[in-house]
Amino acid sequence: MNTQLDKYTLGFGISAAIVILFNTFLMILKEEIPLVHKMMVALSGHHWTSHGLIDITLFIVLGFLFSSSSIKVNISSLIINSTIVGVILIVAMIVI
Amino acid sequence: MFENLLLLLHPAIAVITMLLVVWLIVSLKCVNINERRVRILSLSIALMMVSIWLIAGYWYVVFYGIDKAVIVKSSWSFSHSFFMETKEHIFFVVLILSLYLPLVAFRNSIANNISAKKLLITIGVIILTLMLYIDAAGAIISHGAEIAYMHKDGLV
Repeated sequence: MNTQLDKYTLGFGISAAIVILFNTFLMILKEEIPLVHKMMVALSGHHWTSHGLIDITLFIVLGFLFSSSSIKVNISSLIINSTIVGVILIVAMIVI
Repeated sequence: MFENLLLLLHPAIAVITMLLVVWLIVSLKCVNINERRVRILSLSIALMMVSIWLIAGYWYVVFYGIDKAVIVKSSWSFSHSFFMETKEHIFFVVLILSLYLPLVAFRNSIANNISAKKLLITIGVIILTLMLYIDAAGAIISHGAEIAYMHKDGLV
């Protein structure tokens, strides 16, 4: 049985983990620094709309960037799984 | 009327999406995996999640401000300060993972690739767990609004 993941699966998996972390840091920045909040409101009319658009754009851009990387790595699903689960746990601890 | 329909529509779509996620996980646990079904389910989950984003997002941006102003002054202000604040940001985690699902399902041969299968199951379980939290948070916010309006009207 095959265990090799497609390059886009790996690239976007890494991108998802990074964006999930970034999502939390952006939330903290937005809450703590009024200027960031103000800038996000100015971007789309509402901070939450801007937050979502930034997350999705970053996910797509980083996904393609990591997918097109010339470095050939053999990352198993275990690493991607552990990374995503680890990031979710870190995010949960930060949020709560 | 319109805002009430939107308010009821987004958790209804969310519950259907949760059922699709359960169906996806069960499909991946079968001995003979039906790849076509897995791909259709993954794509449907992503599309449903985008529709929740648009519907709930529109309601949150346009209508929630009025309720929020009442909730934050009530004894159930935590329903906004904790539950809405976490719910609205955890949703983006679910959205990103939902968009990742069809990519994994379409770019790999799920029936012959144990790594892709495990990855889909893990993401499915995470999405389901977070959606259950979001759903519960929604119920708490709704109850918070109810109490806040009763308090405002002098009923409690």
